[in-house]
Amino acid sequence: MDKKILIVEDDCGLAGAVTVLLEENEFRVIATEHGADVEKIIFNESPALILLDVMLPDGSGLDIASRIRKSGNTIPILFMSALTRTDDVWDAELLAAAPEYKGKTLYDVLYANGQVDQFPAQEVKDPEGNLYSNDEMDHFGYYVQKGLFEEYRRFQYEGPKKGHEMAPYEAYHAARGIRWPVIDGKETLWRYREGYDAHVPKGAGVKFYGKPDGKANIITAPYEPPAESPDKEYDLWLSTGRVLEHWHSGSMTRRVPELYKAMPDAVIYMHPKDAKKRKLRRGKYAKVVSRRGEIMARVETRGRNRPPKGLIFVPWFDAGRLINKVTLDATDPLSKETDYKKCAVKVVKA
Amino acid sequence: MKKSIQLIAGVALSCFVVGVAGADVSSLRGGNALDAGAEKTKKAKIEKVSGGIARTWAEQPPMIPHDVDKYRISIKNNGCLKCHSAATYVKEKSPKVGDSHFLTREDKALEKVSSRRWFCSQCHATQKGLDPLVANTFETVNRSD
Repeated sequence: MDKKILIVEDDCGLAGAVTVLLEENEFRVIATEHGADVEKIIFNESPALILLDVMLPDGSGLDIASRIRKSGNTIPILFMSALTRTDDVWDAELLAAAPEYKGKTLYDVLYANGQVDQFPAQEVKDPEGNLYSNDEMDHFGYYVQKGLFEEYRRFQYEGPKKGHEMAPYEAYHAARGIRWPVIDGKETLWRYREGYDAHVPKGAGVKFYGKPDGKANIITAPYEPPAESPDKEYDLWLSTGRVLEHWHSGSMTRRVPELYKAMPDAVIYMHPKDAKKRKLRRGKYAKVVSRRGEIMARVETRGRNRPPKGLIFVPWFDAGRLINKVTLDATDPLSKETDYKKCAVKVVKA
Repeated sequence: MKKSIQLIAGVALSCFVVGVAGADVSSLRGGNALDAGAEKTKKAKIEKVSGGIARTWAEQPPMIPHDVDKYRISIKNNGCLKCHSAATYVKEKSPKVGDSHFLTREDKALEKVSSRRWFCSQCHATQKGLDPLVANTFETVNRSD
């Protein structure tokens, strides 16, 4: 496969440096300084990525990018630019609203602002004396994580919401976990409850102080019957989900030999009596059939998942047996979740 | 300057991976079309490896080198501990449950296996005698035993 990258940049030094770096990593590089050539190059060479300068001699990279997108091309575009100060990129109105940010880089605004960069670099140890290396602290020259956390922590005192107080940064190194709100160094074990939560006044009992009326926000929804229930022909419930080994989906986890060998293919977990009634045997292939499609997999009546009678479970990780050929395309009208957890199927011998 | 170029290139590389799907990518489904029926796969038995399966990295929970169909774990009984417990492992010539399994979350030592390590199959799994689905050049960094 050709891995081509197009660089559009009029700074020869920068273009050269990036080219060397990319070619070392076995990419093919096409470089141009003319924005007008970009579309021609895309057509002839079909690069996989464009590194695009914003300020080009013959126009703006932003215009080129919008032309490419308008033509329907979804090629990834990465902007490289010397525009690094707020004056370059923010409009006048925005600058006028915050004059203290004028002429600053975003690094100045976000990091070198006296808040985030206030903690000097230091050794970080836990109570057992283990030393933790911290590359970011070395790169920034100060304790950047602590600075960011302490900045975030300010919102709990200065922000609009009560009850989000957290402990100082270091407290979380010493504890296994601290439940918020943390008030005067004490965590809250039972939120909104008098005697536990310091925000609940005496005599209130329970108070949900996040709302003006102090009452819980309970949302009710009408009962929605399943889109499909088992009937005479499709007589079993099907539910789908994951197995422990393939927590992500098979596309990654099946490439790990240990995980693949522990759970190679999707199986049909079903109750032994359901299997017997259909003359299916453990380890033999069977078909799961619904009104929409069918898949084939082995029957499993033992092991970790023991569904009750009337229900089968098939995990979805296996690209060779896509259980979602069988499931519904119904969507919950309220939560907009797709309904992969229940539909009607039958299981027959393969 | 150098660092910033590395950064740009790093971002570029990751975009590349996301943005490109080559024409000759083979699926874990094999050559089958999306709407074709599934292939039947070879039925594989659970591997029996005397001496155990070598770990791939130091902290890996060892894989189980034998069939475990007969063993049950309930809240009161643990079939695995018939052989792997401190009391039985010498007689049964099986490896003892790891020392870490006798600690509470506060690192206090216990006489019996900690309840948080009770369900062996949460971390330890059997292996079926199959070749990896996708070839893999990963080399063990630290094979501790």
